[in-house]
Amino acid sequence: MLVLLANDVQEVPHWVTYLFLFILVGMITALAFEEKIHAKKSMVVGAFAGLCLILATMLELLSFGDVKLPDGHQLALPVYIPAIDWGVITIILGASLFVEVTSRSGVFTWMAIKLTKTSSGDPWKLLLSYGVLTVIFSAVLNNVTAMIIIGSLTSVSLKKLNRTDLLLGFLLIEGLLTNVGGLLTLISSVPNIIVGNTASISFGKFFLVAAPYVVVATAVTLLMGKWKFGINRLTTEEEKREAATMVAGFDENEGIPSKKFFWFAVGILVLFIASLSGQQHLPWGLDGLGMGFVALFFAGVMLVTYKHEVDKFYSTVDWDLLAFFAGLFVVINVMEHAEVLGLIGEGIQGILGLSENVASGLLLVSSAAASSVTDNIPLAAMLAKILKGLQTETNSPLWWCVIFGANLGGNITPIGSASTVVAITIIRKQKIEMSFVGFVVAAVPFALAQIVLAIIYVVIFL
Amino acid sequence: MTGKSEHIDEFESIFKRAEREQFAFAEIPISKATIVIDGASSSAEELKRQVLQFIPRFETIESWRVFAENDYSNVNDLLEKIDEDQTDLLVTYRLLHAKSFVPQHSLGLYLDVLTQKTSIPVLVLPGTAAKPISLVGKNCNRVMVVTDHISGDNRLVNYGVRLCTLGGSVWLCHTEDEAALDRFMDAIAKIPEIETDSARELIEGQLLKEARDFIEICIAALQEHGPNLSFHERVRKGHHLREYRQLIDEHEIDLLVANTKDEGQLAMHGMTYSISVELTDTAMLLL
Repeated sequence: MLVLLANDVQEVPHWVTYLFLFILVGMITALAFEEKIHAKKSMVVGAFAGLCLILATMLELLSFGDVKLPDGHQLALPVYIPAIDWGVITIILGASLFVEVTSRSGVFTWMAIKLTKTSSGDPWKLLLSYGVLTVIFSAVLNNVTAMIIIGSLTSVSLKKLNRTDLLLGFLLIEGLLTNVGGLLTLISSVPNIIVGNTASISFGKFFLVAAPYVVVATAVTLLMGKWKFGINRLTTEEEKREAATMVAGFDENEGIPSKKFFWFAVGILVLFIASLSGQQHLPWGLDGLGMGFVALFFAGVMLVTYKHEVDKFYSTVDWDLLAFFAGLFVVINVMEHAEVLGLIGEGIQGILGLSENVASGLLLVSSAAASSVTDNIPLAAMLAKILKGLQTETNSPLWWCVIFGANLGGNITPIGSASTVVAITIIRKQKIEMSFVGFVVAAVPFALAQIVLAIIYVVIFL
Repeated sequence: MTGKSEHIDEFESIFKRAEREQFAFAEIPISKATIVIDGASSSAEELKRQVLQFIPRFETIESWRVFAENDYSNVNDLLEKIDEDQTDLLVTYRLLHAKSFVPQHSLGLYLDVLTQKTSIPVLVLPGTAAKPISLVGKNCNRVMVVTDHISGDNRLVNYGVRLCTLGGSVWLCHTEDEAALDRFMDAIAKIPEIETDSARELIEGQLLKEARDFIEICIAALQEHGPNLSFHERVRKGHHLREYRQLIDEHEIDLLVANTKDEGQLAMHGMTYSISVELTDTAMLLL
C-alpha cells in the first residue's frame, strides 16, 4: 500500500474531532436508513466522503504532496487515492468476476440439484443438504449469491414436493446460515477481507481458526431449525417413494452449457481456492502481489472463455459496492486525520482494559449489536483500523471478536446483512407474510445461540 | 433490490427448467365396455366383432353392454343408464340420432355430452352413425397421441400405448399453436423492455423443449417397461389440424388419442373438438 507523505502528527482541536464524529454518526445513520432515503450505499458514502474531504482540506487536516513509493520514487496522486485500500477492492472485484463466470458453467446449480436428488426429497435430509451447501457456497462465493442460489432452489423443490408449509423455516435457516458460512474463509465476507487484511491473517490460518466454530454453529442452527419448524423425516415407505420420485425428476445437467467448460471451471475453482490458501507461500516473490492479484488473475483466466462478451460480465460487477468501499476508505482516512478513530479507540481501550475474557465478550457483543442495525462493513473497517492503531497483535482474539460480531450480528434483524435481506425477499416472493418484528422474533434465538457459541469459542480456544 | 430480484428470478428459472415431468408406464385395465348406437341392437354384435378385430388388445374385455336405439330415450337417460354399472370404455359413433343434419360439422349432442359429462374414455369409430366406415380388414397398428400440452400427461400416453396392436407404432405428438404464439409475440413486440427477437427464440425453444424432454422420458420408460411397440416423437410449431392431418396421411394413422377435457372449461378442449369434427375418417379415443 502506498504511504501518504502527509504529516499525520498535528494537533486537532476537540471541536473538529467532534464535528467529524457527528458526520460519521450521520453517515452510519444514513446507511441504516438506506432503503428509506432511496439512495444507494455508494451515493450515501460518496456524499459524506466529498463533504469530509472538503472540510478536512479547509481545516487543514490533510497534507498534500507526492506519494512516496517503497523504492523511493515519488508519485503525484490525488490525496484521496492512497486513502483507499486497493487490496480489498481488488479482492472483491476479482472474486466477484470469477464467481460470475464460474457460475455460468453450471457447477453451483449442478451441486445444488445433485444434493437435492441425494436427499430423496426427505425434508430433514433436504434441510441438512441445503444447510451444508449454504455454508459452503457462502464460503466460496459470497453470502448474497449463496442465498439466491439455495433460496431459489428451495422454493422450487419444496413446491415440487408439495411442502410449501416448510418454506419459511427452510429460507430462514438458510438466511441465518449464510452469515455462519460467511465466517469460513478470508474471502467469504467483506468484514473478513478487511479485518483479515488489516491483521495480516493468512487465508489458511483464517480457515483453520474459523472452521471448528462454523461446523458447530451450523449443526446447532440446523438442529434448532428442525425443532422450531418441525422439519422431520418422512416415516412411511409410500411417502418416501413418492418424494424420491418427485425429486428424481430434476436434471442436474440442465444448467451445464458444455461438459468441457464445466470441468474446466471445476479445475480452476479448485486451483483458485488452493492459490488463495497458499498465497503467502507463492514462490519467486509472487506472494508480494497479494490476494487481490490472485483473484483478478483467476477472473482473467475464466474470462478468456467468454472473451467476446466480457463486457456482459463487467456489467454484473456490483459497482455500487466497490464505489461504496472507495468512499468508505476515504471517510475513514479523514476520520483518522481528524482523530475521530483515536477518540473511539480511547473508548474501546476502556473495554480492552477489562480482563481479557470480558473484553473479548464485550467487543464481540457490541460488534454484533452494531452490525444488527447498520452496515457491518464500516464497523469492521473502523474497528480494524482502531485495533491496528492500538498495535493489536495478529494472533489476538480481538480481531476474531470483530469478525464474529460483524458477521453474526447480521442474523439479529432482517436489515443486518445483505443475505438476510435476500432471504426476506424470497420469503415475500412466495407470498409468505414476514414482518420486521416477525423476523426478529424468529431469528433472535438462533442469533443468540450463535453469538454465545462464538464467545465461548473465542474465550476458551483463541 | 431490483438487481437481487432479477438474480433470484434467474436462478428460479434455471431450477424450474431443470424440473422434468416424470412418466410412469401403467397398464390401463379395460375389462368392461359399453357400445352406444342409434341402430338396432342386432347390429351391435357385428360392430363388437369389428372393434375386436381392429383393436386386438381388447381381448381382455370380459363384458360388453349395448345401448341401442330403443334402450334410451334421450341423453340424460343414456347417462343414467351408463352410470348404473361400471364401464371402462364407451364405443360409439359421431352424430347419434342426427341423420337429418347435413352437412354435419359437429360431433352431435350425444357424443358431445358423453365426452364432457363422464370421465369414461370414448372410442369414436370412423364415419358417423348414419354413414359408418367399416373397420373390416383394419388393424390398430399405428396410433397417434396428440396434444398441445403433452408434458406430464401420463394418462394420455398410457391409453395410446394400451390400444396399439403389439408390434405396432405409437407417435407421441405435440403441436404448439402458431397462431396463439404469434399473438403473444405481437404483444411482446410492443413492449420496449423485452427484446423481441430473443424473446421469440427463447419462448419457442422452451415450449418445444419441454414437450421433447417429456416425450424422450416417455419413450425411455416405455422401451424399458412397456409392451413391444415402437415409439416416435413429433414436436412442432404450427396449425394443429394441418399438422395432424399431414401426419395421419403420411403414416396412415389408424387411431388418434386426444384429451377432451380442460381445467376450468366445460366445453370440449378446442383443439380436440376441431380435429374430432374434421378428421371423421379416423378412429379416435377421446379421454
